[in-house]
Amino acid sequence: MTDISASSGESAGRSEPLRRIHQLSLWQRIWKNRLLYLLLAPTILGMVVFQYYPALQAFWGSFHSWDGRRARFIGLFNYQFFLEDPRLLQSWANILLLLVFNLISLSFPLMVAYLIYRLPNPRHRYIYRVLVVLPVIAPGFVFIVLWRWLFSLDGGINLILRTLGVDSQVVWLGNSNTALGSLMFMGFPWVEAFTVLIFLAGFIAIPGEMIDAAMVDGATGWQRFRRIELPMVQGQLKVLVILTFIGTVQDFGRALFMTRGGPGFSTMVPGLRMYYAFTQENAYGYASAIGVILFFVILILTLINQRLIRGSED
Amino acid sequence: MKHNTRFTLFSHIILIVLIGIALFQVALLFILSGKSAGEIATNPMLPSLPFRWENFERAWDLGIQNYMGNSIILSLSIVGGDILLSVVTAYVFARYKFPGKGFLFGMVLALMMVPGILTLVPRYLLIRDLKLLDTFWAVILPAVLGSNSFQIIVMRTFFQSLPEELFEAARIDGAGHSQILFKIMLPLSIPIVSSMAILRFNGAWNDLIWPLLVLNRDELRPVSVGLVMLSSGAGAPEIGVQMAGSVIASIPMVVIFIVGMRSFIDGLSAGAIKL
Repeated sequence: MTDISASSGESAGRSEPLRRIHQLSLWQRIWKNRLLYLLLAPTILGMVVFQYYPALQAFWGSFHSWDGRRARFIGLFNYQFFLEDPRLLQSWANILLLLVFNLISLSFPLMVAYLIYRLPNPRHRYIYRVLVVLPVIAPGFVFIVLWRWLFSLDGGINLILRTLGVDSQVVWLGNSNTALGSLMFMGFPWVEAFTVLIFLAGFIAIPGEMIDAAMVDGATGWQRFRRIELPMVQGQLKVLVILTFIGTVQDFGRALFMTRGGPGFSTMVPGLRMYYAFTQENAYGYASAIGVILFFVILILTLINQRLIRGSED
Repeated sequence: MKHNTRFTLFSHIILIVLIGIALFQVALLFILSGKSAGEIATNPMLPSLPFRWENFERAWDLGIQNYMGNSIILSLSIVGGDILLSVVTAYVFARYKFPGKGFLFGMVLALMMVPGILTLVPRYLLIRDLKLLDTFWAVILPAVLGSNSFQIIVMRTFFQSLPEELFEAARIDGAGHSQILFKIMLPLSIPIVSSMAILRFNGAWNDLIWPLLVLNRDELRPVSVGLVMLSSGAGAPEIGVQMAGSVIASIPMVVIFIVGMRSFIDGLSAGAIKL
């Protein structure tokens, strides 16, 4: 065996340089590509240092009583403590409601993208596309400031209601019946530029012949949407559903800056519980355990989503 | 055909109402920024005269000036570093074969499934142990190194779609990596690269929780943290001043919108983003 490969390697080496490359040993091939590895090094090392190492440390920390300096192994106690926390049930219920709500509200950008795509005049399509993107000029945190005022006692929403003759004295974010609903309503009508553009790109990519064929077969407008156009943007839908899962399960910014999780626990979410454990209680192990749980929640939701949307393709 | 005209009219109405509400919220920032507290109480939603520019002076002096400078330094460093590394990484993965490529690209892909919330606490401790708390590096380093999976994946997909003959011709002519990258690849990829740059800038400019954690000194804070903190609590200035600060914080994205939105829209419309 060694004889054959050695001799063929040598004879081929003179006549066919390409064949020789395939017979380089692994180390020779790595050495030959050393410049490529060098180009990848900053990204890969960065990922190891700032992502993989912290991720592993979070798993490790979740089994320890950890104040950021000293750690003591306590097994599953952090998980047990979290799962027995009375605040937990409310925070899971809240995240579930937010998740359902955010998924449903994806239908707004879907509708806007579809209506733009169906407009016959290309000039109109272009104008709407620009107008949809225009609100990105105001950064997200600015809307925290705006909506805090809109929801306040003498803020925009109550002022409008009062001009309409309703003597509204509701402190929208300070009432446990309205706080969570208010957080959901924030950002109405939820036509985020990025989402609309992605849907729109999907619709535009549908081959015209496909639509023509369906129309010849006498498909109604609704059938055309439901049977052809919607399935054709499933790839985009899948990405946006996953991004919504990831975004919603992790997000605690709104709750933190709008309501601090209150009043009571009416807007508490697991992510915010983690933030408080971390910043106020120095309970790093406990905070890590919540992070790990949320990681698995996202993972499971994503896998379910992959199955479900793929399944409906048949 | 009659049905179609009616559908078009209906589309226009829905689009104008929905997009109009979104745009009105942006307009409201500007409308409120020109009002005194008393004017807001009597007429909260419509513009009024005189426009109170003193709100802008007040906000500027309350620290927005300094916060804006910090945000610009942070965001530009993050965009520059991130896009440079992402382009180089995507280029290598898109155009070359080498041992371990599958594994290394798997490392990039897998990070899409690692949520920021999982790594938040250890990342903070890492920055603390590197003695980088209360420095700009605390924000820049984790944003540039290792959090660019999405950009790499999108750009790689695009780079792969370019015809191989271009690259082969260049290599035969003896072009090195930097020439291939900057003279052939980038000019062909301007829409997708600038889309990613704009998205990244927007993300960096908007980032709130991480800078809040790692920057305790007020003079280092970006405008996201500065403005939200300024408008919180009992000592907050009146709404007009808060909104003036919000309008100032929007200026960079306005500039980017005017300069680069066309290529941004085209890049995202190219349809590279799906599973």
